[in-house]
Amino acid sequence: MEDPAEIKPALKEAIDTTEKGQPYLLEIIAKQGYDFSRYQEHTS
Amino acid sequence: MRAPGRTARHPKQERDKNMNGADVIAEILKREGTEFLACYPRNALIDACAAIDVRPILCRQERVGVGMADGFSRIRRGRQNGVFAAQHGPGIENAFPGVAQAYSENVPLLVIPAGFDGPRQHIRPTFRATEVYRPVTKWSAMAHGVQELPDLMRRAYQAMRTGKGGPVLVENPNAVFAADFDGEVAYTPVPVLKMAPDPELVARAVEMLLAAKNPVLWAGQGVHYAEASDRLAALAELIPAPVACTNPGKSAIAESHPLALGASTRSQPKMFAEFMARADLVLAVGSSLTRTSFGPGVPAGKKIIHSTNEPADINKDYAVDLGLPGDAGLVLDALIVEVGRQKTNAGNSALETLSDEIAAVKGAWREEWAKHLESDEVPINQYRVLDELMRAVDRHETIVTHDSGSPREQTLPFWETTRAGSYMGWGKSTQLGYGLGIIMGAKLAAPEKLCINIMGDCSFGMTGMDMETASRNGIGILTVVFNNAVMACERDVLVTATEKYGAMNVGGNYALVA
Repeated sequence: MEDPAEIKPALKEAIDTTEKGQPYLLEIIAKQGYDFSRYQEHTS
Repeated sequence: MRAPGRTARHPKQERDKNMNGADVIAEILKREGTEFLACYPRNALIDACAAIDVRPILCRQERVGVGMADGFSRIRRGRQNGVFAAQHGPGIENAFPGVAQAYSENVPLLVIPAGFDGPRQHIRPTFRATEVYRPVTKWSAMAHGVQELPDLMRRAYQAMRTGKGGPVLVENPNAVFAADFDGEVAYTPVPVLKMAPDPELVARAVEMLLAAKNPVLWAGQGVHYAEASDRLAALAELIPAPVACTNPGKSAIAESHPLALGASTRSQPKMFAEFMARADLVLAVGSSLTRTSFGPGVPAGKKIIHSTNEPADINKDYAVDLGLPGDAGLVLDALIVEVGRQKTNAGNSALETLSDEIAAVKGAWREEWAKHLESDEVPINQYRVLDELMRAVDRHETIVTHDSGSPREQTLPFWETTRAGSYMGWGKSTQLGYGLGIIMGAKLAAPEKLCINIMGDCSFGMTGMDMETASRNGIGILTVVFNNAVMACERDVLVTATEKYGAMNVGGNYALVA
């Protein structure tokens, strides 16, 4: 899946499939995301 | 499932035949409530389990089979334990990553490899599982004779059901599996044992809590295993104090609760960071407080009360002001009673004020990230997917886990749980692909739930073939793969390797593979 508008219908199909007892793989062509929610200096 | 302790006759006994070692272990597993055997042949236990209706589930790679046992143990909170069986030599060699990960995550599961027979044990290059696995198991032993099997299994279950969790291993040479067992199988299931806290330490802890200006409750996965989320929330409301969760502790309190600060890996919600910064005292419950690159640290300068069911973890990584050993549930029970006794000023205004402060920070955080959560970018923004997924499912009836790397960093802060115990966080070790096995185990433990794992393309590359295991066995999981053809978390350390050789540029059409 490459278009954000496809997300919702794809999720519906995926959930419906799992309810029938079968696994579903949803592959999303995603951005090279480097944005992370970090507000605390990592101390470990 | 046969009721615990009952000794209905084994099918072989019905035919006046002796049970053998494999039959004995299968019988004990059944009495302990084992519902399936994750496995890969060849191991005599597989057919022995099938004969008495313990379903064998063959995986494609042993580490994923161990993962299935792992996820099952997590969701059943250690009251029942996942079991994995492998071949001697290559089979149990291949299982090592799964067991090592479970060890780092403190998951109580049972591994039963076949073993080389006695005369081969000390001839190079024989792989002696009992010894090799010792550093990554809570307990490991080899059976030397068939008659000792009930004792060995009792010790294995005792180790799993007492104190801090961890994998245990019972190695069975093939000759032991095949040997005739004399007599009846005298075995009674082992109960979970818990430890209550010292009342004097509880009183001191509450004095410190009530004297603090900005206490924070820090919840680890011990709260999950103790099934004590309700008591965690009750204590938080009573003090009042906000609740921060560790990575594996995520959803120890539902994140829709007004006092929830969320959970942290290297990334975290803004509320987590702000209230931890403000804190003058941290009460850690059900947490080992182990320093890890993939979990939060307690910032310097805070008073620490550390409660855990493993006394050896107290003062391990942090010098604490008070240690409070005990089971998380029993500790929370005792703290609630003691707060009720010591706290003199009743009234809800402090609770409301605190809830409003948290809500304000949370609102600001969500607003800051709205451009990602509502993004229409192409290629797709992962946060948009997470937001849509949260809207599409009933989160009350959903269990989620992340996988290693960017999916963990993206999912852990933003997936807002509405029900305690609905997220499997992990990552003291952090093997790519681990999430697939554990979500299958979770689905087997809770078939009525929607079970979702979120992984990147590198994780899928490690364990993705086991989607076939899920398909073959009707394990209806939903796997989301963020395919961005890069190892985003490694970009800082693979600069030259990528420029010259394209080292980081991984890719594939994973939907086709599945």
